[in-house]
Amino acid sequence: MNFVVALKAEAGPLIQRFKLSKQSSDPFPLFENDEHRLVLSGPGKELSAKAVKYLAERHPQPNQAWLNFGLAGHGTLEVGKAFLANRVLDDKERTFYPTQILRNNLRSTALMSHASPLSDYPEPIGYDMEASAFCANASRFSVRELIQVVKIVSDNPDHPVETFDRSSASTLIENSLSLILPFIAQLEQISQRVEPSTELIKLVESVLSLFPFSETQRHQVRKLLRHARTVGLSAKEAMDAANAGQSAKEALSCLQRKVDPHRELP
Amino acid sequence: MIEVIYYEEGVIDDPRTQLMLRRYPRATLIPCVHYKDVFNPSGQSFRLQKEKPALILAKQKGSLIHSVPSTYGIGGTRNFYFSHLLNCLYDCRYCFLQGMFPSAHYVLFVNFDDFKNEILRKTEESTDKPSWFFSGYDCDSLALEKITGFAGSFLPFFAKRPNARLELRTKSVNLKVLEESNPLPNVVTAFSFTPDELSSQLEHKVPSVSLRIRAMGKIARLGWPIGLRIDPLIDCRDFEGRYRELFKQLFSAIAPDSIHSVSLGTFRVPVSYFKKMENLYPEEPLFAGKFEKRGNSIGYRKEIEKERSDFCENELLNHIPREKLFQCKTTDEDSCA
Ligand code: SF4
Repeated sequence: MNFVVALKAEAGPLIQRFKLSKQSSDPFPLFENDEHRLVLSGPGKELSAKAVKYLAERHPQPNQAWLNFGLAGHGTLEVGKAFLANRVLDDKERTFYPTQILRNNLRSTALMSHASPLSDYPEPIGYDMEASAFCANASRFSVRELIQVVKIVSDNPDHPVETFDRSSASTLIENSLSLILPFIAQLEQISQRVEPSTELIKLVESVLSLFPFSETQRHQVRKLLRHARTVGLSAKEAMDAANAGQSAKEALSCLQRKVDPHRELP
Repeated sequence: MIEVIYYEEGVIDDPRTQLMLRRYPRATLIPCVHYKDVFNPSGQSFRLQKEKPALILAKQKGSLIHSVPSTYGIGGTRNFYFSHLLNCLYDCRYCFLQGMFPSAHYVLFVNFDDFKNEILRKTEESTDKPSWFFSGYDCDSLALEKITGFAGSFLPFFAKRPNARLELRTKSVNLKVLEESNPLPNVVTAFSFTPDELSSQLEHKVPSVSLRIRAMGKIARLGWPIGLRIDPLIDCRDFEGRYRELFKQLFSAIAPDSIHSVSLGTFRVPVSYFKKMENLYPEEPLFAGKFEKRGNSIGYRKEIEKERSDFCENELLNHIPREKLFQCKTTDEDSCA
């Protein structure tokens, strides 16, 4: 699970809650535990885009969950309300629609990302400076259902941004965690459903290390091992079958012979 | 239950849109300019969306009625299909929609009158030959009837136009709309079946075979012409025993006179769809079947396909006359599920 947060004050409660420890400071401060990574992007779209890329390159597994989290202005919601973006608008980028498949108690609203802070709130929607770039870039690394934006209202027409007391950022976020943490847990849960199987990845690697397979043969190995798994053969049975061959070609035919009798649907 | 509704800004005042919004007052409403802004982007997970699809309300523009490939049909020579709805309530693992569409959201085109006008135009092109209109190409025709009101709106339209024929293709048991109307000789309700053992493995969220047979029997007794669609044929253990049993169940539930047509269809999908389907469900045993690539599509190996198809054809001919049996043949370019 990856978090991209603009400022340290916004990230503090998550860092504490997940007991994340600092792994690096350059090019972006990065905090991690075994399952969560949080990068501090700094404010603005350009930095947010770069932070996403940095994190994705450091942890290149496909289909991870990505959350852009932090404070935002809003045209109507009161200060302290947490909301989930259902449309992320931008003056230049295409509108991004984060898929709304998770049950939650967050308010659902549109969010517009601007290049600089706004002093007015023309529409009943959220306003921030990162989300559109975050979404556009995270969608290069994961499916859209796993890319979400949650913000907490820090300012609105009654409490304009100039009056916002920065020292209250952590408290605002801390107060919303009871709504946000279940959302994060669900996001992590659904991401597991589309993550590739680590068992299968390991098995493929082991079999591929047996012989020098050509590119086409590597593709066939992957397919046969996937089929072996779906028809109910164990990793050991598949490995033993591949091992029975004396060459890449033979390993493939042995695997094929092992899988073929099981191909009929039960 | 619909929790999220996207709507094209241009259809907000459409009466059907308004009806939908009233029906789901608690749904989150999200405007968009064009439904494709939500439906088409790449990188969506059909599998995750299937857990909670949203409803998209839109207007279908351009050509609304399309010709059906010449290898399809149930006896007519003028065959067309139209899609008032994209996607389906059910989740059959063999369904080609999951390979074809980038999104699992339901897209309902609210401009029913435009569809009707085009159906009328096509029908009037030929007064001597009837025109067939297939409605379950990109969806199940009746499964979402409570939401769409499609049959409720189109049955009275077809009732007045005997030269226009409609096929409703379904796996639904919610047939109230038919039970509450007078049967129409020009509307065929076609039920798709696989044997029970396959249905429970592959047809997720679909009512059981026995429930569907019961529902079918009920509307047959009310006088509605029935179509049976043995489509797609799925290779499996004890194929012959299972399909023979299925046919026995089907033909003992409805009188021969009620049967308008029976069609057989093999499992064949374009290669790109198949790859996508396999990627969505890499753990699905169906996709480890004895398939081969032929042209641009993937289907069971030729000898299996022929053997299974011939067996079913012979079995079916024990129950129905040849003129009621149709083969849904696929070419490399099209598919049939
Ligand atoms: S095969 Fe038919 S019933 Fe099954 S999911 Fe596809 S459209 Fe729906």
